[in-house]
Amino acid sequence: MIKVSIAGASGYGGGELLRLLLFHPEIEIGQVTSESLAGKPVGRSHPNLRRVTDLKFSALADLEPCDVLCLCLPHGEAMARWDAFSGLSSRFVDLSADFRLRDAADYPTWYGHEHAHPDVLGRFVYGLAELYRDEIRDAEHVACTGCLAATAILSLAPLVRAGAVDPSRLVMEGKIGSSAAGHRADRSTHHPDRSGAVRSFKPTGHRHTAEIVQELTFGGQAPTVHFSATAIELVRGILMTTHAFANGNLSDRDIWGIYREAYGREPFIRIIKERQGVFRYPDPKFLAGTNYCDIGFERDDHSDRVVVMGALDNLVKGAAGQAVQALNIMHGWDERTGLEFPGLHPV
Amino acid sequence: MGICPECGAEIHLDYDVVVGEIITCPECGAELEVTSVDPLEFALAPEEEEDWGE
Repeated sequence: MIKVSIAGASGYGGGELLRLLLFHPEIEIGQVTSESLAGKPVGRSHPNLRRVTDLKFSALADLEPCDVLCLCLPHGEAMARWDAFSGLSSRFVDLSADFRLRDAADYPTWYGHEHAHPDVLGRFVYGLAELYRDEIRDAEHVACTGCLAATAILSLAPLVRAGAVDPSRLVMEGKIGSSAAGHRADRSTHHPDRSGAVRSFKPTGHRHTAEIVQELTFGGQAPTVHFSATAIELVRGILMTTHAFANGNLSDRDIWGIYREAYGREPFIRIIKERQGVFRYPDPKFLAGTNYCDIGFERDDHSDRVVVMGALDNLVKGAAGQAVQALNIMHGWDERTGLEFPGLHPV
Repeated sequence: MGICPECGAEIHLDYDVVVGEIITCPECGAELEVTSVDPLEFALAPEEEEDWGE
């Protein structure tokens, strides 16, 4: 058994990771930390885990050595505490943004501060198995992606890499549920204001744009990404709608072929494009709690536009499930271990 | 082996079909009408029209 501890387990991402790892047959949980709830049972923060585990939160200062340390701390905390963490384990999976960007100069631009440990950035592998499986297999440090970024990258990477669409014109609209804002309440998440909202909270300048550009750069050609984000009436889930524009003639079968080649053997990617029925395209409603990313597309017969729809659960494939998938790959286990839940319907 | 006219998937059937039979593409879910059995060929089956929002 591998002993995994979670730093910052009282938040939604850390709680979701704990939920998944408690049922992982190869993993035992070492410690889970929360500064505000140290000494309290984890059910205080995650009621779904009551009587599932007797674990209590520890303080960060009481962390002991473990085989893998998962970091689910607010952005900026992992890099700030890196010197302390680095002595506790040889393997790390970070769910924050602290080690996702390869170029330290991007941090002031997108996160508003200098990187505290630019020397460490090169050790981290970007956590999307569909793009970096071989690198993750050999990695000791994995940086999980942003949830919106994961949806955008998984949706578009095959088409951009194949040269099927114009990388200078990628228009993305991400619709996202409230859990992505984290568990700390503020005025924007106050129920009377948040409930029922269709809120354009970041029409431009969303920080996940940096990751999307980084990971959709193929052959040295950085794409131009026009990304807007909207909060909608969901707790979990993302639907990313991308308007891309074809390079030359592109048939449905061409696009099917590109996705089939990229994802035909991927355990957690499904191409959803059905001609009949109600459920023709990806819908995050049915992905809650699952590690799937569903991708669909439709060509516009009246223009060169290709609409690509990607959906996932921001807390699972967009965070904790992605981390478990990476852990499975790092340790040579079946990639699906602990991630088999197919979702609920109706829900 | 036949090819789905919708998505291009290779379709292998382990049972006999007859011309006019409707099958479902395992890849994209399109309903396909068998137009030939030797060689195996398909056409997209007619769809029911929908008029949501009208």
